[in-house]
Amino acid sequence: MMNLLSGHMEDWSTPQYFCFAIRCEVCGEFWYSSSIPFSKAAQAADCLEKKELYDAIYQREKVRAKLAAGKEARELFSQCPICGRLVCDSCFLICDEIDMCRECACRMKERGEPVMP
Amino acid sequence: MRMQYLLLFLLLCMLLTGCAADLTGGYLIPAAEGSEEYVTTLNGYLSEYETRNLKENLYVETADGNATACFDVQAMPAIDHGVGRYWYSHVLATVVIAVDRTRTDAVITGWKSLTESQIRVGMSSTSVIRNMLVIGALSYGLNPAAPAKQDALDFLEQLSRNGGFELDESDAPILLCLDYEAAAWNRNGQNYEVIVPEEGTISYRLGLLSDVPLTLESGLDESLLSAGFPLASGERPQGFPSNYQSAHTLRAEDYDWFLELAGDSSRDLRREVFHTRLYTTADLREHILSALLIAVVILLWKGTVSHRMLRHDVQWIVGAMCWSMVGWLLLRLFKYQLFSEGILCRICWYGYYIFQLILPVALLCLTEIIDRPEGERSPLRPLWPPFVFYVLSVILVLTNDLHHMVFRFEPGGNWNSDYYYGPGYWIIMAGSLLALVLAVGKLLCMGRRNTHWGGKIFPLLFCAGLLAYIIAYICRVPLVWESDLTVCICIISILFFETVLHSGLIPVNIQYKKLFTAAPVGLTLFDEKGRAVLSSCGTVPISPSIWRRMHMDPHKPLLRDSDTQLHAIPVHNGMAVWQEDISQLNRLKKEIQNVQSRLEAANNLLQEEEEIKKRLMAAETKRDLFEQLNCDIEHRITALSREIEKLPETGCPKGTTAYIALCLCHIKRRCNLFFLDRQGESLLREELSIYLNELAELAGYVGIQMLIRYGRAGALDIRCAALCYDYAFETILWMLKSNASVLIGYMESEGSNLIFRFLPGCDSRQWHYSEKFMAEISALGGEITYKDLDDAVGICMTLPLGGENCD
Repeated sequence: MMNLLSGHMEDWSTPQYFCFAIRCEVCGEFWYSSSIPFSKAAQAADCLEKKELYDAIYQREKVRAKLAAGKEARELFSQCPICGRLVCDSCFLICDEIDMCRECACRMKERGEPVMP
Repeated sequence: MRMQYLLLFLLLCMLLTGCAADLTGGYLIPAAEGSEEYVTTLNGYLSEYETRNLKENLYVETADGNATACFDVQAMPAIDHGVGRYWYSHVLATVVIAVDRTRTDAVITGWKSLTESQIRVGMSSTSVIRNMLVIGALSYGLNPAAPAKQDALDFLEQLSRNGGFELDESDAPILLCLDYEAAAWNRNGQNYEVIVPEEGTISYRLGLLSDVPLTLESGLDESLLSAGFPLASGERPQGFPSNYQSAHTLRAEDYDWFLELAGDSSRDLRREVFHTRLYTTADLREHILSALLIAVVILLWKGTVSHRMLRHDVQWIVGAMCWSMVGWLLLRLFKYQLFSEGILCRICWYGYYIFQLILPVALLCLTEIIDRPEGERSPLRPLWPPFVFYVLSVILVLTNDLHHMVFRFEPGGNWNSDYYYGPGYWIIMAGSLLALVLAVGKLLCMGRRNTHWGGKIFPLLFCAGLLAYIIAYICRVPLVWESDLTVCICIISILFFETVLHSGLIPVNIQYKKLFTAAPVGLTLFDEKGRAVLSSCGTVPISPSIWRRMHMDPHKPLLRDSDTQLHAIPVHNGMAVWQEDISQLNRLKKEIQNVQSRLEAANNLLQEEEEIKKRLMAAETKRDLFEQLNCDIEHRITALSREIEKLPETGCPKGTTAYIALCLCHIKRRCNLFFLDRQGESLLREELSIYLNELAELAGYVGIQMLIRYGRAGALDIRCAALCYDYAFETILWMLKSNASVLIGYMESEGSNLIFRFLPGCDSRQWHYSEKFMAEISALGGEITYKDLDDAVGICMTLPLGGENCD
């Protein structure tokens, strides 16, 4: 699941903070992870001669932020067992036999309640 | 917000600490009007109590541990509510009719006879309790079985209409008063007939109310009798009527109906008897309640204005105006709480002007900043004169007791009502009026383009109303003089301001909902917690994660979905977010991508086609080239092949071999010149000389001595050079055929021609150059001429120069 989430993540980070987005493949709405500020954002802007050092720190923190975003997204996204797409909780239905995305449920005429109404 | 909390805190402090008990006690206080003499008499019998005047109201004084002189109708409700536990009644006070026999001899027996007499009737006091006593007695007298206040009010109204009835009119021939008062007047030499109304009246008990038991020394009754007070037991001194049978003394069960009957007597007397204060507050309770109500309304209105206002500086000024009005009302309430009309009360009255005079100045300030950008500091400069004037005015008013330039009081009168205005007052009023006129004028000037006529008329009407009211108040027009100045000014000011807001003279945001409903862009206003406050029609709510992200970095747009981009801008206490539909953009982008991919495919196809065409063209060109070359040298190759075939049979192989070598050399160089010609290049004479020397060298193998001299260096056109080369080659061939051995050549430029001369060592007149060669010379505009010299014939080829000549 983490690999799937990681593969769908879009980088919306800036030099000041880290933020990642995942797009629900059913409703198309983007989910944005909690923005994590870059610890050296202020210093990096002031001290250009240490750019290489701060770039390394930035990359290290970005990897961590991406992991954190993945953990955060894992609570809000599911993989549809029918179509295999990554869907948000609003589009993922709890059905009687097997949970699935809204579109698959509609196609198979299954009824269910969304995880997050 | 902090300022408001501070003000509320101060208000609470004032209210709560104001209730703190100060149990000083030990005073004997005359709390009821006309009880001063009674207290003086008592003074000797309560040795531990000292007499002083009333400072607070009756209940506060009693709760403070003092002994207060009051009537039973005051004391009983107080005891019921836990204020004062001990009641000592000593004097019986009966409401009577006192007729001044020096001024009238009308026969007065009771209440009804007053209407028949057509003589002016008055009351000796305007105090609330005195009104209650009289109204109660009159109600009882008119209908002892079922006393009703309305009967008494109707009676007094009729009395007022017929002969005249006045409150606080001790000069009237007939007075409604207490019996011991009339007896006292008679003892002082006046001639009042004291009449106990035959229809009935009420006797009230005058006594002491205290929270602690009182120890009265013996002999009080005698002293009271000697002081002219009737005793509670019914015993009366000389000078009182003998018959009190119609007088009813209140019992314990009577106080409830009496209080219900006599309550609000002052208010009802004003409104229903004298028909005054019909549209304003008539008693203390109404004064207080109305002030509180207006203060609440002002604060609520301020809240709505703050909500509607676009600009913070305008909000601030409107807030200052509102708090000024509230402060004015609260100060007025505080003044009402003061029982004695002393210096503090007068200072409070002066203090009204702190709040009153700031209103026109604040309005002027508002109009000054309203047409300038928010935060601009320059408007403060032209506003300092009105502020200085305001400060000076307030100082002038507050120090009025020192100079009396603003208010001048009549000596011996009540300062509260017996005053007139000094020059300072008129200067202050003129200054305030000027500020108001300037402010309104500026507002109207700014709103002159307003097409709505009401936008100009209504503010002007309210402004004119305000001015008219103030002028009428100053002139003491009865209707206005009786009204509540503070409340009226506050209400008119708020109405004026509200019309100004509604007319658009001051910009407000009351149409935001309509604006948002009509806005085609998906705009939403969020508060600081991410809740949508205003949202345009059709806007989809945003998720918490998007809100968090926008809150973190509002300046960077983000995608809600593939076709919706969100932009945000922080606003005061929240954020404005609008959704941009980029589906068209995405569609165009996709179309462009499709077109681009199609163009790339077409481009690849065209490239391939071009490559193929190039290859085809190269092949064709090559073929054409070789055909031309073949055409050019074919006859030489044919001749060469023939010579080679004949070589084994020839008798002179050396000569044939040389001929073959010359031909091969010629073919090689001609090919070279052919390609140079196709390349469009020129040939230097030095290079041509190398070619010719090569021929000369080969010719040397067959015994031909050949020498060619050249003129100055330069470049030759290829065709010209090729003809020179062919000319030399064919000449050598003719030399071979003629077995000549010496050939001298000279090449030079003469004017625009190239002259190439040969002087062979034999007769060359029989030489004929090939037709093809001659045709090429003619085509180039040249010629070959023979010149007969003495012992030889020279050959001269003339060609027009081509190429670059360096001569």
